[in-house]
This record gives sequence, structure tokens and C-alpha cells, in this order.
Amino acid sequence: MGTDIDIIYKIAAIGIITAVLYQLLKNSKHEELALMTSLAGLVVVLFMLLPQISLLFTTIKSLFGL
Amino acid sequence: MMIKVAAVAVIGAAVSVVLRHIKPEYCIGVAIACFVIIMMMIKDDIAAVIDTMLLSANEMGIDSVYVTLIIKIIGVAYLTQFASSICEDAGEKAIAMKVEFAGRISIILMSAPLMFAVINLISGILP
Repeated sequence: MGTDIDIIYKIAAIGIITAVLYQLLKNSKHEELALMTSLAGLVVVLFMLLPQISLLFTTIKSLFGL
Repeated sequence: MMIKVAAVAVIGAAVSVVLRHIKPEYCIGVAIACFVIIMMMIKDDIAAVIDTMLLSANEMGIDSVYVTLIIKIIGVAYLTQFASSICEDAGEKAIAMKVEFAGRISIILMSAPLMFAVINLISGILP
């Protein structure tokens, strides 16, 4: 359980860090860098979630015999 | 087990509320992560419930094909619920409705042979 719930905290941390970086870059007149940063954060989170979703689907498949 | 599930759900809700104000894109990620964690917690219990169902149906002399079909339909309903609730949380109600519709069609397709068997039985009894 200790390692399982870590992913929620990780997603929260990435979201907060991305928000801070976005604000910093936007205030220093780097609009396109700010956009790229927020996009990169989203991609990182999605790549973290990919194995989880795959695990969920394989579990459901084997559990219900689909 | 239930305490753990409740704790994960509450923590996920709190994180989601915090993230919604600063970056709403990450709420979906938190929701999917919560779903997976809770599913991993309860998967052994679901397996136990399914085993009990199969065992008691076997004792009562019910063909295990029917019980397996019911379990498959439960699985399809679970997947449909997952996808549809994630889509609805993301604000895409149209996609959620389509997913639910696809789930219903899939369930009807899976249960069609049984339905026709029942209809044939009834029409055989009727004069």
C-alpha cells in the first residue's frame, strides 16, 4: 500500500511543480516555454499512468474471464 | 481493507481538489490512479466472491456456462462504468454516453443466446 498510494502524491507534486514553473516562465515573458513545460508535465503523468492502466485492464481481463 | 479503500479515496479527493484550482488537467490522472489502487486492493476479494458464486452454482446443479456469462457481463459493466465515469469527470458527457451505449450493446450481444433460449422455451410451452 505504501508504494501504491505514492503515485497519487507523485501526480500532485508534478502538477504543483508544473504550475509553479508555468507561472515563473509566463512572468518572465517566455510564453512558449511555459506552454511546453505544462505539456511536458502532462506527458510525464500520462506515461506514469500507462503501466497502471495496463495493469488494471489485465487484472479485469483475468478476473472476469473476458 | 475497507479502511484502506476509504483512506485512498479521501486522499485522492483532497489531491484532486487541490489540483483542480491550479492545473485541472491532472485531475483525470489522480482519478485513474485512485481507481487502479482501489481495484488492486479489492481484486482478491472479487476473486473470492466469484469463486463462491461458481461453487454454490455447481452445488445447486446450475450449468457453469450461465454463471460464467454473468461474471463476464459484470466485468463488461465494470469497465464501462470506469471509462464512462472518467469521461464524465473530464467534462465530456457525450463521450461518456457513447461508452455507456457501447457497453449496453455489448451486454445484449453477450446475453442474446440465453435470451433466445428463454423465448424458445416459452414458445414451446405455449399451445
